[in-house]
Amino acid sequence: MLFNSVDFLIFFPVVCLVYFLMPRRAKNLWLLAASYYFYMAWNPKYALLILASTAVTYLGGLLIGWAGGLEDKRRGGRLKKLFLGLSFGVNLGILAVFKYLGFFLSTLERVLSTVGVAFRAPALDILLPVGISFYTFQALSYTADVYRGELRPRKNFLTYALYVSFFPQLVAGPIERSGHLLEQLEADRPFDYLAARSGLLRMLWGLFQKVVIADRLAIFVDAVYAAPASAPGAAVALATVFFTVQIYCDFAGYSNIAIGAARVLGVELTENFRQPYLAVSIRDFWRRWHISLSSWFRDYLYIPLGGSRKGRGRRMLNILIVFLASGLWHGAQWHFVLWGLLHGVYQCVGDLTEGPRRRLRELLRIREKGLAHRAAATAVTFVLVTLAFAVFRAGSVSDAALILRSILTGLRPAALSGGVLYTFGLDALDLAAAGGSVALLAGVDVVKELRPGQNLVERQCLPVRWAVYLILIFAILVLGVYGPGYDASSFIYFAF
Amino acid sequence: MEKKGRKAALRWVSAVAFCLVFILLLGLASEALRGRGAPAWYSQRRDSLDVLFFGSSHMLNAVSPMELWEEHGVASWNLAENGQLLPVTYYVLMAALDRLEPKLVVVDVYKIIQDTLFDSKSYLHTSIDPLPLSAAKLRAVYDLLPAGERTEFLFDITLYHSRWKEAGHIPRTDPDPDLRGWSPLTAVEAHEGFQIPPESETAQPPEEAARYLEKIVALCRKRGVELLLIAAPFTTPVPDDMDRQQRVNAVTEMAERWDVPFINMSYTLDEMGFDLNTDLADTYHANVSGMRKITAYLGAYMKSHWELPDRRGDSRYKAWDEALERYHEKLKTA
Repeated sequence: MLFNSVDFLIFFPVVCLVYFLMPRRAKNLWLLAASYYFYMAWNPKYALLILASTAVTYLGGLLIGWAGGLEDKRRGGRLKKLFLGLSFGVNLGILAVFKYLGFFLSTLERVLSTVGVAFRAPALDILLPVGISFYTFQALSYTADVYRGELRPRKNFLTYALYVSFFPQLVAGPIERSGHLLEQLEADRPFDYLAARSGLLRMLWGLFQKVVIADRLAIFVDAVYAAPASAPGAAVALATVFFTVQIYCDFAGYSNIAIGAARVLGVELTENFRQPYLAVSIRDFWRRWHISLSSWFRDYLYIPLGGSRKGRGRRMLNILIVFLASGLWHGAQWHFVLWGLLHGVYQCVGDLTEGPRRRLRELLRIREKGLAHRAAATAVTFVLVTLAFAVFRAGSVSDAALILRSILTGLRPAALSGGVLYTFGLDALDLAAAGGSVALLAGVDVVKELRPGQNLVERQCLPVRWAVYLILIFAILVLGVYGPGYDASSFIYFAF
Repeated sequence: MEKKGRKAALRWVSAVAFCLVFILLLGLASEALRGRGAPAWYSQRRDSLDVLFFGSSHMLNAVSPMELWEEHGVASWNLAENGQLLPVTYYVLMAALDRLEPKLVVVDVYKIIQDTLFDSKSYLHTSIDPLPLSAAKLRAVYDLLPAGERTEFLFDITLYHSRWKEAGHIPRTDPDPDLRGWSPLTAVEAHEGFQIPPESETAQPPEEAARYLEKIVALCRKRGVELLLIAAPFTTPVPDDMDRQQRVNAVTEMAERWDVPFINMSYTLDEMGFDLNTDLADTYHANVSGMRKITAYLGAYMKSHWELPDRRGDSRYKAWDEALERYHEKLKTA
């Protein structure tokens, strides 16, 4: 079920209403049933995969807990490692089969053919289960946390199953940590009017980002990227910038709806985006972009690999490994891997040039925290992120090369004059609507950056709040890209 | 504690008030984007209309309530629409009977020939969208449309919202209330020497259409409203289409079975003085001259079979006389 669908518009209020009318003991059971229904509306069979993932990590947690309590510490330690390995092995195995098998086989076919070995990869008829990368990582974080002794293993299967399948964040995150979410699901969550109001506003904002901005820009992006060779370089560049905004609004919009929906139900989810395009470096960008994934990789891959504790060379290698894994997590195609690698390289180059850059700033007496420097650093970071997203959005590595060449060599804005700009699916009014809504988005992000943790809207008097709500609702209803003839495009991140 | 309770109550009141404001604005925005408001018959006094007409374009062009008003003082409204198939007629009739208390309902049965639930989606939108949300509208949408296609009918802003770019220039398409639902055609197309198959020749009508005609009969019975079935005269020049008239002819037997009067006007041409060479605008539809003959014939028939009050001179119907003057003015320029 999509958040931007009529089904969800009916589903969510019904779930909330019943939820708050239910006795406390039955609440989690109701949410679990609702979550499985939410998932099964897409494909009933694949709910078994979530159930399998849940059962394996649940048992893994219990066994690790049992092994940790053994008197023979050495044996206990060995067994803990074994159960951790089994839990990770089974879950990553499922992920590998459903997401990566086709990719591995076709890569194998290509490699073998270059060395003269004939191998035909079998045609696989496997549908990528929606959100598999998200809930698998969430379930694994539980196993890892229990293994590290940071969390006691849970006995209540029902609550644990809800932790893995909680519908607001089931298919596209934020990827929650066991400690954070499990404890909230175990606690009582009575109705809180202010939280519900704030959650609904958050959902509205997310829907605005998705339906008004992302889906509108997507029309232009899709048109240009469908045939990048035949579009002028300026159009390709513009489409790439549009995609950078689109993917942010698509994904952050989804996260906002998820966070808002959970808040209505009395659950606080992790923040997933913090004004990413105001980042002043690539490292800063990754502290603001898809935070729940970056911190997952940091805690369960980068740090176990040694993090930055084993010298500069090893640190860079670790960064490259993490970003390669992140690229692969985003999709079983080489251009995603390349995108990850590019970000890894950006960070390594940033690290290597940190000293010279600092000396240059001192020489020129540029204040690092000064507005001019911040603005320049933000602009450079945005350009780097945008170029990387060109690789991300391209259909293949060769397309990515073509697109980058087109942007870097064919950037003549005049090529878009004479109405050419309007030939990619968006007319002048559409572009004006997109421009206006992106300006609003930028304004909101700047305010959030300057006044973190404050919600300006909720502090206003009733008429102002109502005006904001109504303007948002009608902007979504009227300016949104949806409805008959338009196929409510899936949230981009479902496929990852 | 009491203060806390009052604050909570106040919050709920404000939440409900917000929803009401939203619903009001949604209605206004939907109407502005649709370019059409609720039909004029919808806001007539409950007991003010004595006869209602339903059907497809055949009825739409054939009967002018203002002629009935002038001749007999009968207050009526034509609720026929282009492409109004019998299943759609059934639900528009239901919506109308929820709002109004007519004595007689007249339905044109030409669409007995068609075996789908509705003609085109755009015709269905024209029929359904202007109706305010009601039980009848909900039933219509759930019955006529498959899941997945209902939202654009229940909340038509999801369809019309893409017209935001035309904001300020969206043309209004409300029918002229002075015509009381009738839509005039002025063209004249001669159908000289056209052969109509004998009335006894029949063909089996599609099951779905027959089923809904029967539902219409049952609905009128249930609501205690008299029903008259008619088929306005039409020609079918293409030999393949001959079974159109034959299917319509099959209604004679059905109507007898249900004990409902039926006037098959293709066979009352002489009585009506209807001339296929001058009274049709095209193959199927009566022009203004044809309308006059059909309406006059129907008026006389209705008056002789039912006790329909003459509302002329009734102070509550003053607006009808004013509308009649405008009607004549408009007919002159039509």
